Amino acid sequence: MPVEPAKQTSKAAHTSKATKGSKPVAVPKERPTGFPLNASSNFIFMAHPMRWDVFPVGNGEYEILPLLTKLEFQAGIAGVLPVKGKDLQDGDPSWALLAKQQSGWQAIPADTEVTAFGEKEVGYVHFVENDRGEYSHLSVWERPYMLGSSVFFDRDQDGYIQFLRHCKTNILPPMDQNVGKALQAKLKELASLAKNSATPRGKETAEEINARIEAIKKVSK
Amino acid sequence: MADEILYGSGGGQNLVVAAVASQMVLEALADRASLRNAPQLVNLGDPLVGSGTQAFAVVGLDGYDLMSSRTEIQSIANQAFTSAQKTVTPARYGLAYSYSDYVSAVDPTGILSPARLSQSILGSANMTFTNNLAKMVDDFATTAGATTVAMTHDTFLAAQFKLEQNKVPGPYLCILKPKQFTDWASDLETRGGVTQWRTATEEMMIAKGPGFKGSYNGIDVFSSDQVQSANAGADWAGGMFGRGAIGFKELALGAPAPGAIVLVEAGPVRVELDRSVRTGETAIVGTYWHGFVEIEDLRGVTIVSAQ
Repeated sequence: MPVEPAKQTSKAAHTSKATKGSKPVAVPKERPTGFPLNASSNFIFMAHPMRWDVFPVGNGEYEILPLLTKLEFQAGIAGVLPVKGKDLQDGDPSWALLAKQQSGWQAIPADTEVTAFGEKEVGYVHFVENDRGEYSHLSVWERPYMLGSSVFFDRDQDGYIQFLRHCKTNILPPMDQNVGKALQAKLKELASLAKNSATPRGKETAEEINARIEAIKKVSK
Repeated sequence: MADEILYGSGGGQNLVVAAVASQMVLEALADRASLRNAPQLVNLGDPLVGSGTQAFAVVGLDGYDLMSSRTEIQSIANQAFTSAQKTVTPARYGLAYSYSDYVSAVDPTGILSPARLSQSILGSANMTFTNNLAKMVDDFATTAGATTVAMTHDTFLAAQFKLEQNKVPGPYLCILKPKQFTDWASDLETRGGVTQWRTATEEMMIAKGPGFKGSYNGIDVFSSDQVQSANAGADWAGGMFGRGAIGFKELALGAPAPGAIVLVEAGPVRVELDRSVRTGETAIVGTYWHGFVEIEDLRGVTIVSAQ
C-alpha cells in the first residue's frame, strides 16, 4: 500500500502579541519554538471487524462507527522494520501491515480525502515540530496550541466523525456482516454502566448511555 | 542623607552579582515510572544470531486439543497441530548528551559528569521502553469502555471480565492514562455496597503519583503518561492484559569495539563516552536495542475512555 508522506502545518496556532506600552522582555536566543510533545511517527489508521463504538454525532444522536487504531511506522514496534540510513520514525511497515491483515485488520488508505477544520485535504496525518526539533505526527483533526507552557489541542470532532462515516460506507466491509457479536458485547457493557445509575456518576451518564443503547438496538434489529 | 550603600547603588552593586549558581538541582516534572520489569510482559530473551529478526512459535499444546471418544478397535486419527509464527525485530534507540570541558569545569552542580549522565540515560531507556509499550496496548481487537464516556468501575470490570471470558490466565496488568485512572478512582469514591469496603478501593485512593497505583482484584494497576490518545484526541486508549499478550526482545551488543570507553554495560543498554580532544568536548552516548510484538491478541483488552 502506498504511504503518503505527512504534511507539516504551522508551528504555532496561537501567537501572543506585546501589550501597548509594555517593555520588551529579554528572551534567551535558544528558546525552543516547537511544542512540548513527544516525537511520534507517521502512521496509518487500521480498522478491525470487532472494533466498533457508539459515537455521539451531535444533537443527541449516536451512530455506530469503527473504532480505529494507529499503526505507527516506528521501527521496533509491532513488526515495523528499521530502514538503513533513516530515522526510527521512518520505519518500513510492510511486515507489520501484513501481520495485522492476517489478524483481521484493514488499513485505511493514507491518501483518503478528508475534511478537517472546514478544509478539504488529501491524507489524514500532519506533523508539527516539537521543542527538541523532532516531529510529532498527529491526525489532521488535532491542532496543538500553547497556553502558557502547556500544550492544548483544537479538535475537529465533526470532521473526524465524517471521516469515520466515509470509512464505514466506502472502505470497510458492510457492517452487518461483522458487527453483530461486537455490538452485543458492547450492549451488555453499556447496560452495566447504566445499571449503576444509583451512583452520582451513573446518574450523570445513564441517560446518555441509554441513548447509545437505543442506537445499537436500531442497527441490531 | 547621601551615599547610602544599597544593593543596587552606592557601591553596593559591586559587592553582589545578579544570581549565584546553587549546587542544588531539582528534577523537572516527568513520568519516570517504568514498566520494564512487569512480569506480565514476555521477555523473548536469547541473542540474535544470523538475522535481525527473531521468529518464534505459539503452539496449541497442554490441553488445547481434547481427546475424542473411540470404540474398542477404532483407529485414532491424527490431530491437526495448531501453531502460529510470530516475529520481533529489535531497533536501535539512542540518546546523547555533549558538553564542553569549560562548562564542566565551572558547573557547580556536578551533573555534567559521565556518571550522572549515564544514570540519566538509563532512566530514558526505561521510559522509551514504556512509551513503546503504550503503543501496543491501544491495538487489541477487544475493547472495553465507550468513546467520550469517562472511565468508571464498570469499565475496569468489563476489561477484567473480557480477559477472564477469553480464558486469559493471570496475573493481569492494567495501564491507564492518569486521567483514566482518576476518572475510575472518582467513580470508586462514590460506590456503595461491597466496593466501598474493599481494601483495594482504599488503596486506589492513596495519592502516589504516576506508576504503580496498587492492586485491584489481583490486577496490577499502573498509571502512565505514555498512554496514547484515540479518536482524534477525544479519548485515551489504555489497556489490560495477561502474560502472553505482549512480548519484547532486547539485543545485547556483545563485546565492545577495541578502544571503546564503556561507562555502563547493562545488558541491552550500553552507555559510552565519546571524547573529542580537538574541540574539548565530551559526549555521553547511550543505545538501547529493543522491539515489541503482540503475541496473542485475545490476551489483551484496549480500554477506551474520554480525555
